[in-house]
Amino acid sequence: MFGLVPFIILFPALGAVLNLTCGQWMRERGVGIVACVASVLSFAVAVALFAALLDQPDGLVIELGRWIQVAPVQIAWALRVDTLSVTMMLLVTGVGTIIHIYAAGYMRGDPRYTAFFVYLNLFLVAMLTLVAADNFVMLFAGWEGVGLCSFLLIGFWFDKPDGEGWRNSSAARKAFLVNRVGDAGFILALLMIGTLFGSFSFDTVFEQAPLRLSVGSPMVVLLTLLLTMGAAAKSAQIPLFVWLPEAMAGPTPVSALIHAATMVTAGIYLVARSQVLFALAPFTQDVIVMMGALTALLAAGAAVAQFDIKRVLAYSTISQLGFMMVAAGMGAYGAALFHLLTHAFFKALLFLGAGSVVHALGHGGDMRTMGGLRTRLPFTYATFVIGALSLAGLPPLAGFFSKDEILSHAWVFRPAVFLLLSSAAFLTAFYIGRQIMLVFFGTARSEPAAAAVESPRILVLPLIVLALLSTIGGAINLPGSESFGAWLHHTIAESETVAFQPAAAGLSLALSLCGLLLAYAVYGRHPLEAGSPDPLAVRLGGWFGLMGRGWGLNDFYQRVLVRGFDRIGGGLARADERVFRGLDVRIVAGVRRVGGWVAPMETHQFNWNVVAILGGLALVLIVTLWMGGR
Amino acid sequence: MNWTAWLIAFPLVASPLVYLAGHFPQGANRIRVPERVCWWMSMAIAALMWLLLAQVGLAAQAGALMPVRIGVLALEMDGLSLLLALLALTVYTLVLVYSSAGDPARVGDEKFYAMLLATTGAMIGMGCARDLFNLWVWFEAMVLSSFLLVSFHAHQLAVLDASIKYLAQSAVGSLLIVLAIALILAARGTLALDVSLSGTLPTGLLVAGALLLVGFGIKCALVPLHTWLPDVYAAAPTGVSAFLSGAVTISGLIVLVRALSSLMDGAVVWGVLLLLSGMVNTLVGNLLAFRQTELKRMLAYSSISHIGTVLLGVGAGLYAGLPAATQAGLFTVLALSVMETLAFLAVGALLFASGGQPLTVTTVRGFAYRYPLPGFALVLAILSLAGLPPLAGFIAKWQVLAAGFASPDPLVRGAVIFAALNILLAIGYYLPC
Repeated sequence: MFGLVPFIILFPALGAVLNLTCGQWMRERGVGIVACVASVLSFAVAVALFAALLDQPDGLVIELGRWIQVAPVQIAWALRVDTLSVTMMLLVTGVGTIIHIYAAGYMRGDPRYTAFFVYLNLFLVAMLTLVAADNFVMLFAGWEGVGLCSFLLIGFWFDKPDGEGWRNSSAARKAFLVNRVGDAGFILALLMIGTLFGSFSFDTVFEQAPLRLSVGSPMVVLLTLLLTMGAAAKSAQIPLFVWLPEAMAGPTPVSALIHAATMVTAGIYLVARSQVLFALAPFTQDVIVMMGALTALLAAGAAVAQFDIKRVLAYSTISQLGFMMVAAGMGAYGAALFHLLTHAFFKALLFLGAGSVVHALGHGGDMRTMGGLRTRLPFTYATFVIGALSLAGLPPLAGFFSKDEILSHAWVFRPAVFLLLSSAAFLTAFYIGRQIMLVFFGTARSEPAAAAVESPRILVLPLIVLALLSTIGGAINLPGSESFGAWLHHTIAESETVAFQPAAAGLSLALSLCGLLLAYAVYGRHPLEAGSPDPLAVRLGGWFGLMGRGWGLNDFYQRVLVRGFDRIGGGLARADERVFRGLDVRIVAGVRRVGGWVAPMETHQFNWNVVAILGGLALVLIVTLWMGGR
Repeated sequence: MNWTAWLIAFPLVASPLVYLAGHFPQGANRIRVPERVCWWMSMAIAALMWLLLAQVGLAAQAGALMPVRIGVLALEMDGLSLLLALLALTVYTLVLVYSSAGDPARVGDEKFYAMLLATTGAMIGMGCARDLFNLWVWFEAMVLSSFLLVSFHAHQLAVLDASIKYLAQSAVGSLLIVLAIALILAARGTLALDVSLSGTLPTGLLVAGALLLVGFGIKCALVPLHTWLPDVYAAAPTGVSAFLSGAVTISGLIVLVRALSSLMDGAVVWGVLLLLSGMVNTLVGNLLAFRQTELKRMLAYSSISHIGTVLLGVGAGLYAGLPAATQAGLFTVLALSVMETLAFLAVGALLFASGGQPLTVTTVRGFAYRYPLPGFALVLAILSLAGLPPLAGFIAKWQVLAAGFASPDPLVRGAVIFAALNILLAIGYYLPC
């Protein structure tokens, strides 16, 4: 059974190639079917692997071939089947399939329909390579691959008129650039791994690490910090989260699949995968916990002040990724991955719901132009509310259990972090309540909103499936049974677990309810009128604007880094102008002049030629006799 | 059947026949055979020679090659002579095909084809010579017949000038070689090439070696003995330039290596000399190429610089005892032959297409659009000469540099670094083409 694992990557690759080569002769329907079937087959493989793992939970490494061989280091194309990788495979292919089907409807009529599905399948290839990799270099290859696909898909509508296309493509470039900052860290970490262990394979590195590196030694701290840098960029943590809100420029299925459910969790996956290394570096773990907690709180705050329906969700994603980072940093990998799973369900649901709203309205996602959609889009409304309540953490929805596990850990081990996270949970409930009030309640604040009709079935069906998953997803790791933790235990031996903390759960539940009630108090009792300002903006004043701009981090980068680089670049350009301009021409002129010195050898005076010959002979004779036949 | 004998004898017998064919029916009824006949005849001869070469190659593979003996004179094929024969025949065939278009300025095509064949035949024979004297005789035969090719348009002043230069310098070289032969005979009592020596060389042989180096060095354009080369390459018909650069000069190199190797044992001095002159050749060839605007002259100087690369490889091989470097040098010979032939033929095609005006760096602008195929060929040849991967020139240079750098000797390493810098320098004049 484990031998099937290459096919999980092969199917989407085949789909991409098929659509790339033959897509132009197929109708939209055909292209969509090819892409979806590829994804479904991939999911089937994942299920088969899961079934096989149930019998033999220790997994296996399947080596496909050699890849890079540089004297001491051998890097193989090897795929790893263990509980961690298969969990990710199930997630990626499962949610991937649902979103493929959704996208087949959502993208209908787009002139570059085929290209979209080629990219989407390609993303699956890269993401599955990432999670199935058996060594850091292959993981990095997938890491870069998903980055590329993310770039291509964020900027997918680069050709929209009126400067929108330009905004889309610059959002794509920004995502790519910010991720490159993290990649720089990752690459350095790769080099360190290669130097320290002489191998990139997970088994070797994780076996050698505790033997060669002592706990808290500077090398391992540096190594893990560099890895964290890569993870922070990909998983949009402070200080590198600025790209994710802008990444919402991509089509909504892309936001759901790549920027909520799968790719952005790669950072969490990396930390969980390399937990042996992180366990050796308590300092880095502290850094990760602080980074995650701050991100969770600040991003939740930023989400409060957004008007774009997708941007709220983007900041919400950042905030939830912060939760996962905290869990990973505390060593509670089970909790981190549990939340990763449930978050993938309810966040994909929320994104697809938002996409359905945008689709029904037929224009951009400003929530001030919506309102009253509860009756017009009943299915979307119902499923969106399920997703929202799951996000807010109300029992018995999936989000409650996973978030509660993280909070319990913090309650036991890090009370300060618990404070930050529970505040974030309060804000989470508030912003998602605000969103529901603004979008679905009140009265329609624009004509399209007043005339909206429910989206077609192909869009609604995935919502229902995801709503189901968001409802019952918590069952995989209920307090007391902890089946998911036991399942992961085969791969991650040293995952921390704590018992269910009723006090923490009660407190967080109370805070969530408060958040929802506050949202109702502010936005529900007096629904927003068209053209009137946001009531919160009135009360918070300048803070509201600052939060809306993501606490101004973006402006800070713009002002300090971008402008700073501009200055340095300008200075260098001027220096170049003054010093180096024409240097090449001068060098050539110099060479020509030197050539001129030897040119007189070329004479038509035959006598001189003979002199040259005899001179040469004399020279050769002198050397010969001087060296004397040695 | 002694295929070696056939392969050597056939072109020498056929060459006068080609010439006569152009004249045969002239006489009572004054009907002139069209000169095309000579071309067709040459083509047929080339085809036959390929067959003979294939036979020789097969026999060599089977280890059944017999030497040709005429009295005391022995001719024998070995790996190097097979390589030389293959090279000569390849370039001969290519130049022949290229010449089929005919040069409007050329009269007396039968002489042209006859001499081309004779030069080729002499080259093949030269490879088989087993003693120094015979080597020299074949070599002179080759040079003299190539001289007639160079001076084909002797009515043009520049051609006349170049031809005389070539002839006179060759004559000086021959003189030195004869002197060397005399010295070697006096010191050793034999002229055989495969005598092995040990210990230090006596002074007489040292002087003889120096004379050989200079004598053959003239033919393969060691700086400062190169002065004839650019003039000749520029003045000769383009097909002949290709033939000279692709076969004649190259065979000079092979002969030089062969003659010196008979004096080699235990003597690093030839290695040092070749290494040094290789360095000088690359530098001066490049510097002078920078001054050129005319394409054929630039190619001529670049071939001087490439000869330097060959010498560097062979010299490093002799000096530091690196067989890899020698192999790299000989591979460079092969690559150089192909690249130069292609470059000259492409320039010739462009010349033919553009009406015979001399091609300079400025006038070739835009030729790629007007004459895409020869333009592409020229670009390919030049990129290869400049040493861009994955072309032959890159492989050759890379092999020489890599083999040389494997030696711990500072002189070899220095020479390699020097050559690498020169490659960089060379790009300066290749790219503007």
